Amino acid sequence: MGIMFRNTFQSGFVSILYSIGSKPLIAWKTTVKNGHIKRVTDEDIRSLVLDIIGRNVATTFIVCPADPKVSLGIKLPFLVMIIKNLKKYFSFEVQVLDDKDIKRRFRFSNYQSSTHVHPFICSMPMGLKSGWNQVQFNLVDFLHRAYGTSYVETLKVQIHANIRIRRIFFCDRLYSEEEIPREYKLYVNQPNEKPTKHKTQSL
Amino acid sequence: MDRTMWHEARKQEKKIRGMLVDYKKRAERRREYYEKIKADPTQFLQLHGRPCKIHLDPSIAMAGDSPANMMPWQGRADILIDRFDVRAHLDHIPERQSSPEVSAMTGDEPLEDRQANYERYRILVQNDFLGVVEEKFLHQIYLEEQFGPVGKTNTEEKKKLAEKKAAIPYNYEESTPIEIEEKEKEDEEEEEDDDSDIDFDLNVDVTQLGPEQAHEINSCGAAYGLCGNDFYSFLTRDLEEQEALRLAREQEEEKAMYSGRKSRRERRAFREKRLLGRKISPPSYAARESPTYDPYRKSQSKSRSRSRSPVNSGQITYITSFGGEEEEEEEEIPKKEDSRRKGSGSQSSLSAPSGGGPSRHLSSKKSGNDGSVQGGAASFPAPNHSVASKSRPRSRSRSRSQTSSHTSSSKKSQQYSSHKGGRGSSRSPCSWRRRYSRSRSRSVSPRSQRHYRRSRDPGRERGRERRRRSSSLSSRGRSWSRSRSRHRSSSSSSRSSSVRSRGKRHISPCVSPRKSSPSPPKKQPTPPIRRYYGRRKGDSSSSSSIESDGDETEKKVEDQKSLPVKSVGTGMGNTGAGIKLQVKMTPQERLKKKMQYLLNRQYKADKRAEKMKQEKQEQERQDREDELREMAIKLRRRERERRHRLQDDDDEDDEMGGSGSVGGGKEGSMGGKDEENEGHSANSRSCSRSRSHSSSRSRTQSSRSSSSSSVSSKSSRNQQSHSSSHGSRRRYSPPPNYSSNSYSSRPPPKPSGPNSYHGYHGGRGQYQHYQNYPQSSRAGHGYGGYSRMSHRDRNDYREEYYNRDDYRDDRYNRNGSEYRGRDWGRERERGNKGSRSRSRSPDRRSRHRRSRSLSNQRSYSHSSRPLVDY
Repeated sequence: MGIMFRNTFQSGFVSILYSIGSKPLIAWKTTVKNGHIKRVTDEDIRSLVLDIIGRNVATTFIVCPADPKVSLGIKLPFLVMIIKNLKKYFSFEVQVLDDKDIKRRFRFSNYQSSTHVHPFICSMPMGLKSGWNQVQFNLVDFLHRAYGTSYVETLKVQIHANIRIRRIFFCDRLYSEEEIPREYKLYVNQPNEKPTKHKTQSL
Repeated sequence: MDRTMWHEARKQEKKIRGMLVDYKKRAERRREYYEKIKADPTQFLQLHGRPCKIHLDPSIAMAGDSPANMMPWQGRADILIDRFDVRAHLDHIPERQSSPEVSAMTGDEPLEDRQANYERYRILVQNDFLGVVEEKFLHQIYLEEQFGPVGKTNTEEKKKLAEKKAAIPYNYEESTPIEIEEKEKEDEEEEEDDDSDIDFDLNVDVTQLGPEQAHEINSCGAAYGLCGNDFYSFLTRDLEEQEALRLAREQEEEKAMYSGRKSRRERRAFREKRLLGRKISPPSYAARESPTYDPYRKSQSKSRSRSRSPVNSGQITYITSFGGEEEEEEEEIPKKEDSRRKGSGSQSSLSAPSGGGPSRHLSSKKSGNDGSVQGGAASFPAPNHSVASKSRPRSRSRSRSQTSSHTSSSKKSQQYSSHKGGRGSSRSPCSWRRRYSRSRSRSVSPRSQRHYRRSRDPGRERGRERRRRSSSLSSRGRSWSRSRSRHRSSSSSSRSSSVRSRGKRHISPCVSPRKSSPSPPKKQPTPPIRRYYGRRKGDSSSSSSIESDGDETEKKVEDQKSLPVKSVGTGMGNTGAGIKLQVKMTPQERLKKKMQYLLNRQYKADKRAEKMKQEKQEQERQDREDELREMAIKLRRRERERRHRLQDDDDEDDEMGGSGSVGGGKEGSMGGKDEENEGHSANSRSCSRSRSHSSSRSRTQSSRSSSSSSVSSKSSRNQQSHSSSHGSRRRYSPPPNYSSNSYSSRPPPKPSGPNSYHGYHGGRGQYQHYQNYPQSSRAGHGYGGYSRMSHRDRNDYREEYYNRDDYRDDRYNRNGSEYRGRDWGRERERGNKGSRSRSRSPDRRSRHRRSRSLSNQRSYSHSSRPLVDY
C-alpha cells in the first residue's frame, strides 16, 4: 500500500541499514527462531555489526520494510552490502518491481551452486570470500538478464540468517573505494579506543 | 626443368594441405574449448562478494566514527542515524511491532510462497534430509567455487570414473539414508561437485525415494515453509522440468551441429523433422465445424498438396492418348508451362468454359478406353500374345507406310507451321479448332473405318463404355481446355514432323490384343487404365503420376455421376472409392448411348448421301442411255428415211426397173439385219457404256464400300466426303497409334467381328461425342461454337484435302507401287480370311486403285462433285 521512499529524491547513497547508531533496525522487521539478531562488536573491525544467527535460515531473518504491505520504493539500481562471511548458510532476497509491473524475487544463497529462473523467483548462488565482503548487486542487469525486463524499484529487502552486517545501502552507481564516503568504508577502530562492547545492544 | 617444377608444385601442394589440416585441427580444438565452457546463460547470474578492504588507518576510523556522520532523526536525540540513512526521508517511523513472531513459517502460505520457499530452501531441505553438515557443504561449495574449474580439469577423468563407480552405491545410500550417514558424506560431497557443474545441485534422486523417504523429506521441508508433501511434489516437478530442459538442450545442440551457412538444408530437415509429428491445426478460416465441409476441405488439402502437379500430369496423359505417344511428349513441355502460368491465375479462370475443353476430353476418353481395353487384354495374356505376334508385322508395315506418307506431308507441316506463326499472337479459336479437328480425325479415322463393318453388339457395348468414360472425363476437361488450346499451337506443328519418327512401332504390338479379346475390358474397366498408361508412358514419364491420374479420373467419374453436367471447378467432392466401379458404369453407359445415337445418325446420313449419289449416278446413266437411245432412234430413223428414200428410189426403179422385190427382200433382209446390227451396236455401245458405268459404279461402290469403312478415315476428316478417294486413305495415314491399333487389333478370323462396328462407332462416336459434348455441358456457348466451327472446319478440310490429294497424286504414282504392294498384301490376307466387309475384294480394289491412280484427276473431279453438292 504504502511506498516508503517513492516520492523522495534519491541519489548517491541511500542506506537502509547501518549497524552503528541507535536503533538501526527500526525500519526492519525481525523474525527469529532458534537464533538471534543482535548487534555485536566484530573482532576484525572492532566495531558494532548486526549479527543474525539462526539454526534455520528460513526462520531467522530481517525484512525491510517491516510492514509487509509497505514497499521501499527505492529506485537506485545498485544494492551494496557490507557483510561478513560466517561460513554458514546464508541467504538474502531482494524483491523488485520491473517495468511490466511484476514483482520479481532475487534469491541469493551461498548453499546453492546453480541458478534457477522461475517466473516469480530467481534463485542464484552467491559466493562470499572469507571475512568481510562487499557485495554489489546490479539490480538492473540481473533483472534484464533473468527476465528481460527493466528495473523500476526495489520493494523489499530480506536478509536471512547467519550473517554479520555492517551496512546495506543503495547507490546510483558503483563507486570506487576512494569515492565512497568514509563511513561507508570498513575500518578498524583504534585499539586505543575503548573497546566497544562485544555485547548485545538492544535493537 | 620440368621435374624441378613438378617437385616444387608438389611441395607447395603439400604445404597447403598441411595448412588446411592445421586450420581444421585448430578449429576443432577451439570449438571443443568453447563447447566446454559453454553454459546456460542464466548460470552466469551469480553474485559474488569481494573482499572488503578493512582500513587500518586511524584517521579513517576516526572519521568513520566521528559523530559528525551521525545525526539525530527528526530531531530526536535518541535516534541517531547515518547521514545517508533512508530514514532521513521518513517523517515517521512506524513503531516496530517487533514481537519476533514465529508465525513467519506457519506453512499456510499461498502456493506461490510455498513454491518460492521450495526454491529458496530446496538445497537446505535436501541437506537436512541427507544429513549433510552445513560446514562441509559450504566448504565444498567454496572449494568448488575457488578451485572448481582447476580441480575439475585436473581430476575430471578421475571424477568421472569415480562417479561411475559410485553411482550405484550412492543411490543405494540415498534410498537408505539412515544407515549411511557418516560414511557417505564424503561421497556425497564429491557427488555434489559433479552435479554442481551440471548446474543442478539436487542430490536426491526422486525416483528412488520410497514413501517413507518422501514423508521424511517432506517433514524436512516443513521447516522451510513447505507444508504437506510440497517438497516431494515440487521435487518431482523439478525433475520433469529438468528433463524438459535437457531435451531442449539436446535439441539446441543438435541444431548447433548444423550451424554454418552450408548446412542450411540440414537445419531445415531438422526443423521439418521436428514439425513432422505436430498436428497443425487448420487456419481459422478453414476450421469450420460443419461436418459437410470436412470432406471438401480434405480434398482441397489433397489437391493443394499435389494439386498442380497431378493435374498437369493428368493433362499430359490425356493428351498423350489423343494423338499418340510422341504427341504427348511434345505437348508436355508447353503444357507445363501453361499450367504454371495458369497456376498463378484464379481457379475460376481455369475452370472457365472454353472451346478447348472437348478436345481434351476426347483424348482423355479415348486414352482411357484404350487403356481399359488393353488392360483387359493384358489380363488374358495368352490370346493376346498370339494375336500380337501376328499383327505385329502388319502394323509395322503400316507404320512404315505411314512414315513414308508422312514425308509427303511436308506440305502439311508447312501449313501447320504457318498456322502456328499466326497463332502465337492471335489465338483465334477457330484456327486451333480446325487443326484440332484435323488431327483428331486423322487419329480416329482408321479405327472407325475398320470397325464399322464388324458386328454391332460388342462394338456398341464398347462404344457405350467409351462414351461412359468420356462423359465421366468430360467434367474434367474443362479446366484444361485453356492450356490445351494454347499449347496446341506449338505441339501440333512439331507433331506433324515428329510423329513419324518414333512411337509407332512399339505401341502397335501392345495395343494390338485389344480386338482379340473384346469381352475382358468390359469386366474390369478401371485397373487397366493405369496399366495402360503406365505401359504407354513407361519410357516417357513416371508411372506414379499416371496412377494418380487414374485416380483422378475415377473421382471425376463419380462426380459425373452425381452431377452429369457439372462444371469441373466444383467437382472436388470425393465420394468413397468403394463405389467407383458401379458409379463409373452409368456415365459410361450414357456416353455409349449417346455415341451410338450419334453414330447411327452419322451412319444414316452417310447412307443417305450414298443413296443420293447412287441415284445421281443412276440418273446420269439413265440420261446417257436415253441419249443413246435417242441417238439410236435418230439413227434408225435416218436409216429408215434413207431406206425409204432408197425404197422410193427402188420403187421408182421398180417402177422403172421391176426388180424391186428382190431388192426389197434384200433390202428388207438388209434392213432387218441393219436393224439388228443397229440394235446390236447400240447394245454393245450401251453395253460398253454400261460397263464403264458399272465399272465406275463398281468403283464408286468399292469406293463407297471402302468409304463407308476405309474412306471414313478421310471422311471423318472431311466429315462427309464419302466418295473421295480411298487411295488417299493411305496417304492420310492416321496417327500411328490409332492406325496401328485398328490394323493390328483386328482379329483376322473374324472379319465381320463384332468389334468393327463398334470400332467404327467408337471412332465416329468419339468425334460425334466430341462435337456434341458442348450440348451436354453447361458451358454451352463455347462448345456450341465449337460444333459450329467443326462444320466449317469440315469444309475447309475438304478443300484442303482435295488440294492435298492433287498434290499427292503424282506422289502416289511415284511411290504407289510400294504402297499398293504392301497394302494389297495385307488386304489379301485379310480378304483370304474373309474380311469382305471392308473392301469388296483386294484385286478389284487394287485394280480400281491403279486405274484411279492413273486417272486420278478425273476420278476426283467426278467423285468430288456430289460431295460438294452434298
